[in-house]
Amino acid sequence: MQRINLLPPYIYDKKKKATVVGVWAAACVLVIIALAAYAGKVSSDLSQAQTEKQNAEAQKARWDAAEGKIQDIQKAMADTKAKLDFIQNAKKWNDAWPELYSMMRDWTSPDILLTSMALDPQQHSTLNLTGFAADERRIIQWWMLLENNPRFKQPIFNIPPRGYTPENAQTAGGPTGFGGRAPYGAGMGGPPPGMMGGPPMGMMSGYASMSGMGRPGGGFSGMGRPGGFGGVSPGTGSSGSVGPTEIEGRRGIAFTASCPLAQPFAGGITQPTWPAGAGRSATGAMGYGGMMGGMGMMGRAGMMGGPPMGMPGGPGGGSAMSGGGMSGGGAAAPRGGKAGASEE
Amino acid sequence: MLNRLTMLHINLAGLFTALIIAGLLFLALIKPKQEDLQKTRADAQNIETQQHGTEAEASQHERDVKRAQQQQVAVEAQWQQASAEYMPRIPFQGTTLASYPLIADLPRQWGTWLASWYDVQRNQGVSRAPGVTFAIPGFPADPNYIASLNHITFPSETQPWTVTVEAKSFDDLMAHLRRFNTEMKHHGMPVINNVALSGQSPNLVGSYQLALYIIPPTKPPAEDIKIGSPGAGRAGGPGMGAMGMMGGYGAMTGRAGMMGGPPMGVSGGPGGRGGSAMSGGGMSGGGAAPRGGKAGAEE
Repeated sequence: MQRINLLPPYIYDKKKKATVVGVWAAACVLVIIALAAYAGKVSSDLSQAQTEKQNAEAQKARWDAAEGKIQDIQKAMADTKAKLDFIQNAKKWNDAWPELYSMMRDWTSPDILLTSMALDPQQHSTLNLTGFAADERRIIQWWMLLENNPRFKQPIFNIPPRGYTPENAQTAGGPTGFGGRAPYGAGMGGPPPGMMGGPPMGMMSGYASMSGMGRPGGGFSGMGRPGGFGGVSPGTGSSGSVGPTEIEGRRGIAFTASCPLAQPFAGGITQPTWPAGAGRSATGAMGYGGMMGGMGMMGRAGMMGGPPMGMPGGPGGGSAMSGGGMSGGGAAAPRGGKAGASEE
Repeated sequence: MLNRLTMLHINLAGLFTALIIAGLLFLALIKPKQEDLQKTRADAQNIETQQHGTEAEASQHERDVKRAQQQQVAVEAQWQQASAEYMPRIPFQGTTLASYPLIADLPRQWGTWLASWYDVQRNQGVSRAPGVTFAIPGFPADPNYIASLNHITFPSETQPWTVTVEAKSFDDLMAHLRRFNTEMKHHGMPVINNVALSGQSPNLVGSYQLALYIIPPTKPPAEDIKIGSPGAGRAGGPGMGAMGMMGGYGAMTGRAGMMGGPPMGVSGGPGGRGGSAMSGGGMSGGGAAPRGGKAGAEE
């Protein structure tokens, strides 16, 4: 026999609603518990992160303390280090000069006779040379050799140009003697073939006549010199200009060259002074050329004027002149005083 | 009351209640902590990556400290060695006045020593060109100038000697240049500049500039306030600079403190040390104090 529930459904509604309410209440409690648990986890993470941060700060403090000590040490030894650097740089600077010139000597062909050698006094970046060779071919060969020198970049040579003047022009050029200057400068040097035994008055050097390039304002080239004077002693010859000359009885060509250094001089350090930066204004006082010796003497440091041989001149003249000028005009106070006294 | 609510109402109310509770709890408990957490982690990250806040970096830097200490010791030792090698012992006495006669004699000592240093090299194929001497201007005639003498440059800070030597061979000349580092000891650090060669052996000519930089190993005595009036002394120098040739008198009178100010009413200027002020005046006015004075006297 089966039992039949004849009660209407709403009789059970209250019970069902109570159950649903209970379920929702339980759900709310679960939500609270879940969120609380999550909050606990976040708190734990936060605590761990704070610990890490404190640890990082502690390490940073260690680093800062070490940095402070390093700076204190560096500050304490800065003065000593500067002095030591000065000594080391000065030694390096002093050694760089013979090293550079010895290197140049080693790279100089036996066919080349160097008559002067100097680093440009301002930048210390170009080695300027004057020299002598028997003929142009030997100069060119040496030029090619220097192009392969890794210590230089693009050396520049100044050698006499070679022109051509027709025969009749040569004839016409002769009489111009006093009015034309030899293209090679002073023109005292013994010109190439044909010059020896030229006009007694030294009217014009062979090159000048032949080239027909005489310029106004010359005339000093041959003045008073007997023809064929050719044998010019070193230093009194073309005075640093390029052109034919004669040294110790050997005829040849005087030339000049500029060899820019591929690497900075002395490793790129500046001229060492103590205190650093003092006295730099005096650089360049000497110039390197001989021709401008007079300017040097004017300055006060007379002895530094041109070397006795008076070799360079020419391209060296500009640098030397400016250097000498500084020496004279820009003399230090004490020197200025003395110079004034002695000159006056 | 429950009788009036339908199941739908109860479910909706339960759902919203749960959501509200969850939202409130999230906002109240979780979100602030999450923000703190993110900020803390970002801070820690920043400290570690940007501010050297790691164990490795801190340890490395502590090793750097030891290295720096070792370097300091090494630098100090090297300097002591270099100083002993190149620097002379300047005869500083207890007071500037006691030191003055000894210091004032240094230019003569150095000038003669240099000349002999060059002359000794005749045997090595190098000799001074005729006329090459090593003139050195005197120190200012103010004993208190010695108190500021923490370095000396011979012949002067602005102008080196210009030296021309004659060498018998290229090698002799190069050896001569190398001797500045190796054989010129206890007289300051020599610095050569603008070396130029000309001529040929055996009449090779070398020209260069030379200066000697002296860093005294010992400190100079302190300024003696009983010597003259610094104000008067300092006023004299620049004043004379304005006067031109009278620089020498300015130096002397300034030191003695007799002439308080420049006779022409020229302001004493900023002063500074007597020596440097006088030197500056010399340039424009006709000479540094000592030399200017000499020049003036001669004229």
